[in-house]
Amino acid sequence: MTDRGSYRYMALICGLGLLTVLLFCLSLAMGQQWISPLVFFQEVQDVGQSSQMVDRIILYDIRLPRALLGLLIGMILGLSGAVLQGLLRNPLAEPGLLGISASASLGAVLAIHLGWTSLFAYALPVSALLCALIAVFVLFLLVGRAADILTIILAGVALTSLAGAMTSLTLNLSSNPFAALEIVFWMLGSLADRSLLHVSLAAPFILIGMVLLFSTARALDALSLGEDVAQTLGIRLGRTKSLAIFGTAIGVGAATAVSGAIGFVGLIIPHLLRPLVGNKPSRLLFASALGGASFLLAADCFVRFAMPLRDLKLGVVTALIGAPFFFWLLLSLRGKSR
Amino acid sequence: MTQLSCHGLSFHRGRSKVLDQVSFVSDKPELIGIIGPNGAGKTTLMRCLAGLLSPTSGAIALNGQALDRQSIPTKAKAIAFLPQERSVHWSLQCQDIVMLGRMPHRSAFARPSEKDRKIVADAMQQMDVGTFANRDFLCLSGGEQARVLIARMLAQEPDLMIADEPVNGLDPAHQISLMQILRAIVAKGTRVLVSLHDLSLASRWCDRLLLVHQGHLVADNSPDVVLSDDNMASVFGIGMGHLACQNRLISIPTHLVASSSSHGSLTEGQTHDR
Repeated sequence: MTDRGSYRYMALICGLGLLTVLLFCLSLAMGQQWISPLVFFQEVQDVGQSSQMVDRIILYDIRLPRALLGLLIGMILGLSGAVLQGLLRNPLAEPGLLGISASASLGAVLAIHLGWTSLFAYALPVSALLCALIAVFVLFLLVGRAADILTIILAGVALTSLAGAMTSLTLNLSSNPFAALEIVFWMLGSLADRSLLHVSLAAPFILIGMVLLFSTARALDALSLGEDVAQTLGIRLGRTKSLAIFGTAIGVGAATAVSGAIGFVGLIIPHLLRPLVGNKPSRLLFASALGGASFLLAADCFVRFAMPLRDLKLGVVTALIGAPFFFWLLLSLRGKSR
Repeated sequence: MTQLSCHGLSFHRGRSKVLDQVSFVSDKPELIGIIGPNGAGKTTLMRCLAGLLSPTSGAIALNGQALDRQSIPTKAKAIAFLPQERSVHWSLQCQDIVMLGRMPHRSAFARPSEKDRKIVADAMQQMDVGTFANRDFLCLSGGEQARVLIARMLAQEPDLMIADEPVNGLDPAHQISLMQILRAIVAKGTRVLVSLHDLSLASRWCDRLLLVHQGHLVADNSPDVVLSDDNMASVFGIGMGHLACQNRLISIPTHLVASSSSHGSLTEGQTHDR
C-alpha cells in the first residue's frame, strides 16, 4: 500500500538523480570539442604543452561553471515552481510571478547601459543581484503588513510591470546600439561564458533559497486540505508563506542575476512530475529540483548541439519547448473541468 | 474528564458584532449541534473554538487551559476541524489524506510509524472507507469524500472535533449514517461540535443544541427545549411540527410565521439555564 508508493518515489528520485548526473557529465563533455570529464582525474604527465592541459583548462574554466550553473539554476527553478504551486494550490504558479526575475533583469540592464560592465568585470551579476535583493525587500515590507498571499502576488505583478517598464525605458534611451543589442541578448537568458566566480556569486543564495524552500514540505501537504485545516493541523501559515516567498526570491533572484531570465522551467517541471509522485506536494519538491536540473542541463546541451556556432540562447529554447506545453496544459485543464 | 468552556466570547469585525458575549460549558463528551439562521455567527463561533480566529474579548478554555495560551502543536493534537468547504486541492490518495491527520503527532521529517498506519487504517475502517486506501480522492462521490475527511479528523485523535455543516450536500442516507458515526465518536469519548441547518437532524441526533441568533447565544439546552415553538418563531420565523419517533421528539419545520425577531419573546428559563 503505502510502501508501493514509497518504492515508486524512491525509484523516481534515483532515476532523476542518475539522469541529472549523466546530463551533467554530458554538459562537461560536449562542446566544439569532445572532452572526457575523466581528464580531471588523470595525472598530468607532461606539464606545459600537453593537450591534456588544454582540455583541463577548457573543462575547468569554461564547461564546469556552465554545467554547475545549469544544475543549480535548474534545481532552484524546478523547486520554487513546485513550492509556489503547492502554496497557492494553483498549477499555473511559477517563480517569475513574484517580480524578482524582472527586477534582477533590470539590474543587469542598468549595469550594461551605464557602462559598469567595462569598469568591473562582475558588475552585471552584482548589480542584478542587488536589484533582486531590493525587490525581495519590497516584498518583505508587504509580507510583513499583509499575510494575504493574493496581495503578494499582485505586488509581484506590479513589480514585474515596473521593472519591465524601466528596462524598456533604458532600452529606449540607449544611444549605443551595441549596448542595446547586448541588453537584448542578455535578457534572452544563457549559461554560456560564465566563470566559476559567477558560480560562487550565485551558489550561496541559491543554496539558502533551496534550504528555505525544502523546509516548507510538510506544510504544503497539509495545505492541500485548505488553509484552515492546515492551521488546525499545526501549520504556521505565516511562516510557511514567508519561507516559500523568500526562498524563491533569494534563489531565483541570484539565478536570474547570472543567467538572465529562463522561463517555463518552474512551470513545466512540477507539472510533468506531479502525477509521478502521486500528487503529493512534499514529494514533488525534490523530484522537481532534480527534474529542473535535468531539463536545464539537457536544454543547454541542445543549444550547443543544434547550433554550435550561432550562440543560440538557452532562454529561447526553454520558452520554445515551454510555450507549446503551456497550451497543452490549458487544453487538458479545460478538458478536466468538463 | 476534559472540559470545554467559553466565557463572554465576543468577536467584532469592524463595527459589527459577529459574536456577542457567548458563554457555554461542556464538561462531558457530547454531540453539540449549533443551529441558527444564515449569518448568525455559527461559523465564526466554530472558527474561534478551533483557534483559527482570535476573539475580540472573552476566553475559551480546553482541558483547563486557555486556548490562546496553548502552543500550536498542543492545539493541533487536541482539536480537529472540518470546514464547510470540503476541498482537496490535488488528487491525492485517500490514505495520504487520512495520514495528514497524524501530522500533529509526528515529528517533522519522520516517516509514518506502524502505530500511525494502524490508526489511519482503523479510522478508515470506522468510516467505512477502508477499501478506498489507494483510491483517488477526487474520483469519489460527495458522501465518500465527506467520510474520508472525517476519517482524517479521527486519525488526529482529538479531544474536540468541530465540523462546519458536515451533512451539507449529502443524500438522506448519508446524512443519517454521518450522524450515527458522530454519535459513535462521542460514545468513544470525543466531544463533537457540528453546525446544522437541518433542524430535524439536529433534534434527532444531538445531545444538546446551541441556538445562535445575530451573534447571541439565545438558547442552550437539549433539543426538545431549544426547538420550542417560541424560539423557532422568534429566531427563524418558522413553525414546527413534532413527531415522536424512537423515543425522541423530532421537530420538523413546517410553515412560516410572522417573526417578532426580538429576544424578549424567549422565556428566560430556556436561555442559559444549563
